[in-house]
Amino acid sequence: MIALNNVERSYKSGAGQIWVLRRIHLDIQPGEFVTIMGPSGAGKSSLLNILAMLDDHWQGEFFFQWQAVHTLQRKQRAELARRNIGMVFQSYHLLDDLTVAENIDLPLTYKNIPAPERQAMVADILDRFRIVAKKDLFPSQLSGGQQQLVGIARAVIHNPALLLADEPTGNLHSTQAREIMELFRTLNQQGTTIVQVTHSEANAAYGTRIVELRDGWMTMDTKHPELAAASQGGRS
Amino acid sequence: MTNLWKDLRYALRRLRKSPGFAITAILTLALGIGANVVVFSIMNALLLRPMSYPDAKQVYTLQHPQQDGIAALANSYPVYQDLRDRNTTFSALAMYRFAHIGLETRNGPQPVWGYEVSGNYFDMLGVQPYLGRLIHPEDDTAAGASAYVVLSYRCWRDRFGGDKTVVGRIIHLNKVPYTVLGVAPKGFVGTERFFWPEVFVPVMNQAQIEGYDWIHDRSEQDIFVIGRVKPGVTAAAATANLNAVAHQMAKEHPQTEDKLAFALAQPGFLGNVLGGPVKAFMFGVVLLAALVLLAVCANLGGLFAARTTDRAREMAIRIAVGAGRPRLVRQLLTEAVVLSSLGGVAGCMVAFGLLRALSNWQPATGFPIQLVVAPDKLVYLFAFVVSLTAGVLFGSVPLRQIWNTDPVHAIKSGAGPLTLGRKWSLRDLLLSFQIAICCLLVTASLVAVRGLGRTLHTNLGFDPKGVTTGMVDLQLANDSVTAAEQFQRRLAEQVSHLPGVTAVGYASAPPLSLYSTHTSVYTEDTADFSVKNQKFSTPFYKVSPGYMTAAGTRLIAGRNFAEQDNAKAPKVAIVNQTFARKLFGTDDAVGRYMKIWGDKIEIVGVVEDGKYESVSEDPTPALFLSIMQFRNEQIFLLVRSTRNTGDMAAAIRDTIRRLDPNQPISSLGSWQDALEIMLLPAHVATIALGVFGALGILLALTGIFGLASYTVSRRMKELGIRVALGASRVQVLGGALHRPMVLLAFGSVVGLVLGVLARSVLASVVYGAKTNDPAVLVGVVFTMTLVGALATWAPASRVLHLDPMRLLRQE
Repeated sequence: MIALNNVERSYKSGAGQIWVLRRIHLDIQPGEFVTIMGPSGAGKSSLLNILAMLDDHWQGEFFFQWQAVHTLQRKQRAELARRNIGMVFQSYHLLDDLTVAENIDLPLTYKNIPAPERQAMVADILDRFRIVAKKDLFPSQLSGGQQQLVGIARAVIHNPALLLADEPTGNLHSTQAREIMELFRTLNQQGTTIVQVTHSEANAAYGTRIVELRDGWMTMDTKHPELAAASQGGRS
Repeated sequence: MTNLWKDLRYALRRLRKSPGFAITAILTLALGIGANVVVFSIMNALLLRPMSYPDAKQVYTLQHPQQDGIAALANSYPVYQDLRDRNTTFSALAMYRFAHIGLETRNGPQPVWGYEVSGNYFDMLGVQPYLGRLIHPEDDTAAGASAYVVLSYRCWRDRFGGDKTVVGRIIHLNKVPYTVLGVAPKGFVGTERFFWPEVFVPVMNQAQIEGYDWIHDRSEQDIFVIGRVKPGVTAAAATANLNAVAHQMAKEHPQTEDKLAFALAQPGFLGNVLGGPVKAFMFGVVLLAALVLLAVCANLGGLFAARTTDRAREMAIRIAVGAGRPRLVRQLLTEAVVLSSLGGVAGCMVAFGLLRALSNWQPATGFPIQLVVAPDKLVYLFAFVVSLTAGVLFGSVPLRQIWNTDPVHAIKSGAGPLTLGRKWSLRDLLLSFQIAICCLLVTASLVAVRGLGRTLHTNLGFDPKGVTTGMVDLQLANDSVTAAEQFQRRLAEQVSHLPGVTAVGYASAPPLSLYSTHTSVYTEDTADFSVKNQKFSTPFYKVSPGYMTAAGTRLIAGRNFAEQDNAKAPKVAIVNQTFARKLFGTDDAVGRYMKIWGDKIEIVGVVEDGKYESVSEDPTPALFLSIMQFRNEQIFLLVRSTRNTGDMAAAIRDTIRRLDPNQPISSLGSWQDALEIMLLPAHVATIALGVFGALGILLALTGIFGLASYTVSRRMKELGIRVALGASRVQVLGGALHRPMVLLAFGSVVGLVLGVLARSVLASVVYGAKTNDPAVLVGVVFTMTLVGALATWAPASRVLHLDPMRLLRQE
């Protein structure tokens, strides 16, 4: 589903070029639940942003569902992401002025889906996530866990092939975190490919594969130990 | 007091911390307050400031209530005498008349404007001399008995170098020696606000000054009567008394004083003849200036509201540590008033500079038209009050926000309640109000531009392009009528031989000048020439044979004047189409007869209609007489040529000097320039409304830019989320700028509707204002679209370049 070949990302600063990702080679198959781990500044979120196609300034090759993302125009990438990717954020990023139902509906409005169809999809997901009673509440009226639940509902409303989650439980206490991770597992079992970034070993345990980053280098991949070793070799 | 000082210091500190905001606010206020100070100063000079003589409210001009124009004000000297001697309600009645006089100076004779005044003119007004003495009744007892002249202060300063020994000196007026009696006081400029005379002479010298004796002629109605009512007498009682006298006079002189009646008006605008239009114009302009200030207040109110939202946490902390809400309100109002005061000072500096330029400006009209608009105490007070009011107005906008501040919520969330969501905030309302005002101002300025365009392209009935004109008044050189006629003919002949000249003519006055006079027209069978038998009154022009060709006036039927139409031949006239239709009911007037001044005159030609006294007048009759049959000492030479005006004027001047080195010539220049005075109202209206339109556009630009920038900056993170969720850049742009654009559209529609509804107000400023003119509507829509595009350019560009990755990382 995803193939990254020799992907690199750097920023220019006064001190010169700062590399945040070096020679990343990564294959993700449909149905996988990948966890990206590593210390702060390792490049986890940068990698996630590339996968989300929010970042355009990287080098290397990126294939998504056999499409060469690196050859696509910005608009084409955005369209590809809109159709196939859902995103969950640590800070939920719900829009304060929209109700729960409206927040969930938001990605659909960008896909020009007719209103009755959208309403049905929103009703269905509210039911699936058991938050029908909250549909008319505003984010400020929800707990953190409930907000993240809405965030996930919003991310999966259009049945994305890939769900990306950046520290999805970072702002939640352990019980809420467990509930969210259970939900991720269910989604994964239903066929959604998931890539999550986390510091939590407990959350990582819900996944099927762990990738570790350090200083921008891929230092470990539980699926391909040899790639990690090669990468280690490349660093030295 | 200590608290106030603290508030002041804190306000200044806050402004120093946000120099961008402070400078924008001060400049915006300077524009709004400056515009109002300029407009108020002009209104003060025109309408509020009393005339320059004591107890000015007791002094009235006598005018006729039933007519418009000069004729409604003018009287004959015998009528003045009767009124003066028979009334019982005025402590004194005086008269004055404008006169064009040749004043001999070191540089030769210079044409100047003066007043011929009755001997009691200065005494009635209560004016004291600056030097020497003024004219008194004993100086005005008989024709030529007292060849005395009083100089205006400005004339004494500019033409006599402020020489204090001028009193008693002999100077020459129209080549006749006059003794300088004294100098009028500095601020005294006669009894008209626009028309400033340089010399004052006793009216009994009128025959000497003007070349013919009109003083006993009841049909010569060209003097203005002015008087001071007795203490305790009301204007109504004085009017009733005058009308009783008028009734008596009408019985005694039914031919000339039939239906004579009087009304009183404050002097200054030819009685009240020009007062109505001037007041209506000022009302319109004051209203527009007030709208500009309101737009400024709405603009700053919106900015203040936004800043207060951003300062909600600071306010909440202050409340939490014990500050009362009134204390916070005072703090905010202090900041607003400090800003408005600084804006007021900046606005006054700009305004006073403009006023100084306006005071020094003299339109090139050949008339001593001047308006001194130097600021006085009232203007300073106005500027102070306007600045303070503006500060309180825009400073009050966020008061409700402060009053409703919930300290717990504000401290927790770090900002005030979000007002940028679906709810329409007060700030939005203010912006749409401001845009509506801007749109109204733009509409007004486009209406003025269209009005001016119409004025400039209207058919004048003559073609001033390529014509050089100048006034030659043989009376100023004190020539006899016969000598004058010979001089005029010689002059025309010699000028016609100048290189490049294609046509030469001359007339007693050209159309659209302030020199035109009227006469009553009667049918050919009229025997009783009383007012009731006249068919109509018409402007008339005594013209030479070459006049129509030189003026470019098209002959429709019949013939032009020829050399044989002289004093010995039967009297003939040329009329315009409206004249023909009005008198005969048809254009076919050639060969028909009419009567003026008791003479039977044959109409030999019909010319196209034109404009005669105002470019905005309805079709008006006009009568042209042969100047060889009706002589005139004063002529306007019209020379059509292929040469430029400067060369032609020099050549004409040389020709006149060769003919008579002492003959003064005035107003020598292009005819188009000479028409300036008639186009002056349209130009002034266009400039005034153009400036207001520009101010409106500027304010709308800053207002929309402010809202769009603020909206975008407050919503950057939200916009980032939307991009992350799949929104395209265009969709995000639409979301970000939707509100400013909706407000722009809403405000523009309201402004356009207001513009259409305000047609009557605009009509008081611009003649024939048409707000439903499609060109104006298209212009307004285009301008407002452009304003929207310009104002949202930078915020839109920020949205298009937003980086969702960076925004979402800022958690």
